[in-house]
Amino acid sequence: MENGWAGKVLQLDLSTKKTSTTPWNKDAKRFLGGRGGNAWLYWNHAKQNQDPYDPDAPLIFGAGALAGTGLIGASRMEVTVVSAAKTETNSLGNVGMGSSWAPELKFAGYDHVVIKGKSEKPVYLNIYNDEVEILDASPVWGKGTFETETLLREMVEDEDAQVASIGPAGENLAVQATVEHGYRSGTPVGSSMGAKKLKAVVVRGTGPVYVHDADKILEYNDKLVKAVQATRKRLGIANIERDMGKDAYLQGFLVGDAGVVGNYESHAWRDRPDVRKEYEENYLSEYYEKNIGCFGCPFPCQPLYNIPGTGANIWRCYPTYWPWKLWMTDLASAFKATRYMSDLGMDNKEIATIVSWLTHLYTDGVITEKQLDDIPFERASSHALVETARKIAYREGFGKVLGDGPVAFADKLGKQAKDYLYQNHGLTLRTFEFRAEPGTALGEAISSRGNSLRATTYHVVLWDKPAKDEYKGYDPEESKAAYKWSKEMFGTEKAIVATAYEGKPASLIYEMNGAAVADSLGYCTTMIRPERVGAPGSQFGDTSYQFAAERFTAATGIPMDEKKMLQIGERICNLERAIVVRDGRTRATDALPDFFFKVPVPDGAQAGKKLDKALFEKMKDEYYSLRGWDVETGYQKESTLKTLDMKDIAKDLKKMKKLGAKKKTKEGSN
Amino acid sequence: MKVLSVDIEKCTGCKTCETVCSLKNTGRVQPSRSRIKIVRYEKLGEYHNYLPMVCLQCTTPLCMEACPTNAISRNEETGAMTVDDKACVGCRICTMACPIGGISVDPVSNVAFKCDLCGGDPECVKYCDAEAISYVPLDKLDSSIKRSKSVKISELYALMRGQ
Repeated sequence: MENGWAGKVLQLDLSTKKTSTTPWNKDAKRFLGGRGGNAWLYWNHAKQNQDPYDPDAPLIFGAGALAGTGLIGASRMEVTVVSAAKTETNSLGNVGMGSSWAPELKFAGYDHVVIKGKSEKPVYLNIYNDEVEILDASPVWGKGTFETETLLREMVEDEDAQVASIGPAGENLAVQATVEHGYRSGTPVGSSMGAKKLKAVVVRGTGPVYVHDADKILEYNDKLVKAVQATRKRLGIANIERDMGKDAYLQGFLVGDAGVVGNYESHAWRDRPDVRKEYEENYLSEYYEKNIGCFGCPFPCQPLYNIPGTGANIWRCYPTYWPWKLWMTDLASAFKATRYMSDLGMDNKEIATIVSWLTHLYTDGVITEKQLDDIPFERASSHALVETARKIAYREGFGKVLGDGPVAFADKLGKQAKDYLYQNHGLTLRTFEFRAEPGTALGEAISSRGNSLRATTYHVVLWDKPAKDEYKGYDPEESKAAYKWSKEMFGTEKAIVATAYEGKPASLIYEMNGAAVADSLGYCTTMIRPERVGAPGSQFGDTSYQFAAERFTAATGIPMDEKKMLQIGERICNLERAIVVRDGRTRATDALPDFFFKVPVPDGAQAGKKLDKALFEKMKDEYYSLRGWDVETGYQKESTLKTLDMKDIAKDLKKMKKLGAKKKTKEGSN
Repeated sequence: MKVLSVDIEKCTGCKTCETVCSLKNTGRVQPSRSRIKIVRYEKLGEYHNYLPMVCLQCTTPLCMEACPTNAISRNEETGAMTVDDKACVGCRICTMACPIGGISVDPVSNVAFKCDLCGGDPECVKYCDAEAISYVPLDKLDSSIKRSKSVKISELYALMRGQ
């Protein structure tokens, strides 16, 4: 019997149909579970620079270490694959999701599932406690993810079964495909599942998750509920102001950080009163039904809308940051397209960014309708968006090549088209204005996964940004505390000022380590956070990493504090770094497109800003030094890995000659 | 005396009640042994409805009347119907008699188990931020329900007046 963890990994091979279990042992627990646990399994099961569609490539599911322990906010799962979307080297792709799949896996008795091999015919996996079956998926193959879930629950005769599935996009190996569960997902990992002819993983468990101190967990939960209620009272706001999602979504565009319009073409568009009015009046409030949330969390944060004739879906928080990328104000059409893409099982941010790129090319006359199956890619065209999604998912027309990624399509369109494409390792860049935010730019460049809000920057992007005057959830008390914290923590208040270079490497490392911890414990990303200003999630009160550490101890019985917790985060980040370095990453490829260094922000509050190459490279130097990595190559040093209890990883890297120089190298370019 | 009151329109389906119920009563997290169960009516892309199902401590408890071993009795202090584990033989007749599925047989102990109101301090209520389950004095139950239902009517009234 174990506390916290289930203690087992389920392994199966779709070619041989063999299943087995292995213990989730001490070596593995160094990386907790969830994202970190998946990375450990990836390290052991994936080959260097492995072809994503190699039958032997692992498809890894993981439950956060604290999922199913009854702690409010710990319910997330992680899917890790050899990403088919990456262009420079094949390496890891991952995505985290909430809802109910992860706790269900724990109740079934597993922490992780590793799937290898390839089935000849479409199959789905049905896990019911100890019983694991590989079953015929022909009744659901070709269906959208919504219907798939309903049908599979009928097929396994259990309404409580949890389903993670792919839609047509994943089946047809579009690299933008996602694995979907309960409207969640976001980052492309689905085609790796499609390549195995695996439609879904259905899981149902009736067993227990043992915990070290049940009373303590109840006490922590009680405290959290009271903290939320107290914050509400203090701010004098109704639940709806901050929690409904409308706020995060609209504010994100109108006053927040998500205001990149078009293909990095404007910022000021949003400042036009007519545009603002369109957004405010078009908001879907009349279709709002209720919020839905994750297992074991009484604060549901995903607003569910139901548009007559369209159906229900949630405006997922980050994926909604794109209508303005297409110059769209018609939110009902944007919502319809989001829903359609969820059903097809594809990343709606990625698709929208691709469409914004094509729209830019089209309006600048770089390409014509002829190259786009006669579809005019006018600004604000929901037709172009929906058709692009459909063509990619079914690999028709221009979707045949575009389904292999925007770089493949750009190669076909020519050099000029490629210059308009802002991507990192094959995944599009979007949402964030790197030119005005050096820390966010550094995070994106260094990130192991790439294209990553979560793995690098999900707290960072919230640095000091929601505009104070207009943001209804703004709390001056929080703001003051955040700046004080920044000064104490990083020696400068500027560390949490998004537009400053100062203090960024240190605060980014703090954030990345913390994010790795939250993702690996399965903790909600808005719940676990350091001090920050008026951002969603602050209603939970002080939920720093000490918060996570205490709860980890209550669940597992293992002593833990904030410092140790962050060191585990450091270890997880280093494992992911080891993976991408193994696959070919170097300092030279920790980069961003030249565009962000050359072309200044055209308009808006940050007009004229662009990244400074020298200062950017200096941030990298400082980052590598603080990490204990070799400044010249970006490789990890043996001594660093040893300190982090990762001798085994260092040994493997040494064999591949992928370790940093032993001696302290000179201080880079400064 | 207080009773559990369920407002089905407010439930968000998060199942926090199931986790804390099993934690409190079994010391581990195991929704299959929770005394309260959220029944899901979900169709992805269409609707998401949830119903908290729990013993409501009937005035005329059919489970008690049906029990052939007299294992079920009322706790006078809390008003909860409770099961005597030693007297229960796990025949499951109570589960057939109960009109609302408020009593089941525990998959581990094989005897009947049900909500006992945690001895007068029901754990589930503490975490239900949506207030889908509340613990209210019996003599205030009527006004509590009427108040909750009146919200909709008052909205309708406002609409009628064109507000």
